[in-house]
Amino acid sequence: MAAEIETELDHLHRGEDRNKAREQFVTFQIDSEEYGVMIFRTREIIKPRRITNVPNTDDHVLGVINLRGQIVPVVDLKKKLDLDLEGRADDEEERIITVEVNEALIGIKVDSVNEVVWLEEDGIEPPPEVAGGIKQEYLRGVGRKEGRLLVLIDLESLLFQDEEKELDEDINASEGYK
Amino acid sequence: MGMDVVQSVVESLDGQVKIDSEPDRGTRFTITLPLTLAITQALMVRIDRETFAIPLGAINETLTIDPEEIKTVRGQEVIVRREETIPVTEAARQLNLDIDYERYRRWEEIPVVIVNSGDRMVGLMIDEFLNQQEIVIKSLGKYLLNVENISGATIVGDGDVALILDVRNIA
Repeated sequence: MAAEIETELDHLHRGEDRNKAREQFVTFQIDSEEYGVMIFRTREIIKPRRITNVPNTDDHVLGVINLRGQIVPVVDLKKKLDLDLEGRADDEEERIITVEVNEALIGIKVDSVNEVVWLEEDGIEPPPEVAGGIKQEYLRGVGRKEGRLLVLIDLESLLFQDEEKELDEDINASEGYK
Repeated sequence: MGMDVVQSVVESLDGQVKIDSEPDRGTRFTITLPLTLAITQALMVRIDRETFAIPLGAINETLTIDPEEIKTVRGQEVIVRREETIPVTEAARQLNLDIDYERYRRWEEIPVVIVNSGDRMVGLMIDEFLNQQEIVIKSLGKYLLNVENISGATIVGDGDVALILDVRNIA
C-alpha cells in the first residue's frame, strides 16, 4: 500500500517536473533588444495613457496612471535598466505591461510587446556577468528561442532590491547609533 | 433587514463585518472599510502643469499677493498678514519640480495657499486656484511608499490622476 502511494507520488512529482520544465514568458522590445518577463507576473498589456508625474521620486518612475480607478505607478524600464537610449521606438507601438510583484501592481513601459513564448528550462542560461550593462542581479537568465536571444528579467529584484538595500543600510545606520 | 444586508453592503465596498458574541456579556460588531474609501474636501490647485489637491482641513486661507509684498527676513521670505509674519515658499520648489522658481516674482499677482504645516503656518505660492471639490483619497500603492510631501492621489472628473499634497512637513 505504502509502496503504491509512493509510486503515485513519484508520478505526481515527475508530472510537476514536466510542467516546470517549460515556462511561459511575455516578450517585449526595448530598442533593438528583446526582453522577457514571466507570464504569471503579468496582469495585462495596455496602451500608454496620460501619466501624472510624481515629484520626489526616482528618475525611472514616470508617474502614476488611472487604471479603472486604481492608481498604478509606471516605471520606465529603459531608465531602470540604465540602458543607453538609442533612437525612440514608434510611439504607436509603445505599451505598458502591468505586473504584480510583492502584492504591488506596477506598470512597466516598453517600446513594444512581441509575443508570448514557451521556454524550456534547460534553454535558459544563467545571466552572464556582463549583459549590456545590466546588473546581473536584475536578470533571471538568458533564454534562446529560434535563434533569438531573450534577456529574462527578474522583476522582484529589479523593482524591489534597491529599496531593500536602502532599507538595510538605513537599519544598519540606525543600529550604529546604539 | 438583517445583518446579511449589512454584510453585502460592506462587502460591496471591499470591507468586512466581524461579529464576536459572548452569552450574557454582549456582542461586538466590527466593520472594517478600506482606507481608499476616505473622502475629503479639497482645494484643487495647479502647480506648473499638474493638478494637485490640498485637503481643506490643512488650509488656513487663500489669497493673492503682489510680489512686492514678499519681504526677506533673515534669509527667509515672508509676507505680513494681519500683523502676523508668515513664511512663504514656492510649492514647486518643495516638490523639486524642474521649473524656474523665480517666475512667480514676475507676475502681477501670485496665488498663495496658507497651510498649517506642523505647528506653524506656511504660504505656498502656486500657479492657479482651480476649484473646491470632494475627493476620494487613494494610496499610491506599495511601490511608491513614503513619497515626500505627497500623501496619495485622487481621480478627477476627466479621469486624470491628481496628487494630494501632504503639507504637514512642507517647507
